[in-house]
Amino acid sequence: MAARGWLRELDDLLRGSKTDPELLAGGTEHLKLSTHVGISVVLGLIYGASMGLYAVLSRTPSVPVQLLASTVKLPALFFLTLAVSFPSLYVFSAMLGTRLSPVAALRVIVSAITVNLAVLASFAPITAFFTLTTTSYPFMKLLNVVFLAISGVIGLGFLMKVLSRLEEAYAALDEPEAGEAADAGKSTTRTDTSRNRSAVARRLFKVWLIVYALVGAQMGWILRPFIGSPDLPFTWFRQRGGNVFVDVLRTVAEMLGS
Amino acid sequence: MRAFVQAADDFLHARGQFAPGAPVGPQLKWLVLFIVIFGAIYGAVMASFTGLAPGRYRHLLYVGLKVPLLLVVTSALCIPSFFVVNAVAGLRDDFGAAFRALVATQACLTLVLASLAPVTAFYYFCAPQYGTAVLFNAGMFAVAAAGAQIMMTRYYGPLIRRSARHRTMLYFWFFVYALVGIEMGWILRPFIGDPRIPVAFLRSDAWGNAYVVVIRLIVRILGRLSPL
Repeated sequence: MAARGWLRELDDLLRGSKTDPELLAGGTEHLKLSTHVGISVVLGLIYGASMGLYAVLSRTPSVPVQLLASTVKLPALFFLTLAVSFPSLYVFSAMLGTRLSPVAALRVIVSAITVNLAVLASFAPITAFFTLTTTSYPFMKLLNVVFLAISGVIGLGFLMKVLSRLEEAYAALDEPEAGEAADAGKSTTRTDTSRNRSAVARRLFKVWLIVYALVGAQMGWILRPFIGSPDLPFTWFRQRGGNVFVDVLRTVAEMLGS
Repeated sequence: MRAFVQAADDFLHARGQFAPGAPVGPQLKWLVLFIVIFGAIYGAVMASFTGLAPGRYRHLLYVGLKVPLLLVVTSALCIPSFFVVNAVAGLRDDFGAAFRALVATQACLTLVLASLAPVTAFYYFCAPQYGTAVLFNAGMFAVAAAGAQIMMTRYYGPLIRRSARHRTMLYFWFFVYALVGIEMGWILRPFIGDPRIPVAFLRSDAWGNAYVVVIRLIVRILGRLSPL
């Protein structure tokens, strides 16, 4: 039964009925935190498994334990990133003038992660298909980078939408105050308030994006291997050091060179 | 503890007792407490680069003390001249509000730093070199300083709107604070703590002048570059 409830919840989230402006005007309580965490973990496990499939299908001898490792590591990647970056994400949101409480901020971010992972999990069959048909390790690596990037962008789009709608709702709440101010002969108008509010949402979004993306990229690097290089023996974690940005460039060069 | 967290949240949102128009007195106690606690949190995390071997724990404690010390002592040294210059400029009546703005900015700096502490800890976990760890912390301080400007605008903005002379006062504060702060930071070394150097509250060669050291360094580099 729980699975059915979760599916309905996910469907509502993806259709946008959870981000209806009128619903958001009443707060974020309908973005259920524990349910979204549960859904995200399951979706993450699905995509993680599709990543780990490479070690089973394209390596001889196959390395089933890599499949297990990747399955567990993918949801861990998203939630560890959240754990590391959440304090600063909340502090920035408060300083920039949003009215999100810590729990509300967490709900908004986790629902964006859920959307991100839903898109990612929907790519799982494609990743599995390429794993079956391709043995090129650099290609698989870049394919995953591309899928992670696409799903990330869609998740971010969702986050931006929720943030700006929340801020618009707050602007509507400010309206009576703005009205009083206008009575008192000041020039504050409703459009001013809502313009200020959407500027706040955009600014917060940019700051969140930078912090979360940088920590996330490095977290992905620390948790590697996800696919498992065919030349290297299996390990749960590689040696620390290096960074992800240099490696992506090197992989592009490697693929073009070979 | 709960009251502390609640006060910090109110401070971030500029509401309740931290609203820009609220009386200054009761806020100051909290603001100083924020500087001490949040500064200590980031200090300890920043110092964890030195390693968590049994003998090196003391370094975490030292730097936890040194970060608030750096901010508080630097401010204490700069306040008298700031006060006099304000009084001479005819802004004596606004001094309480100006002082609150400066303390709030520093409290905000430490709060942002403390919220970035998990990021710093994670970065250390990724095993950077000592040099990059120093750079990374410089980056974190720069982010926190940029964030603290929001607080500066929030509290100093109304003063500047009232009198443009407050802007000049602010520039004066930045100049004196940077002058003293750089030297104070130099004296209070080490902060991050090179794991190869034994733990000490201050470096054995602590007393000295940061500016003279920098000038000597420049002279030495130019000397090396010159064809003679």
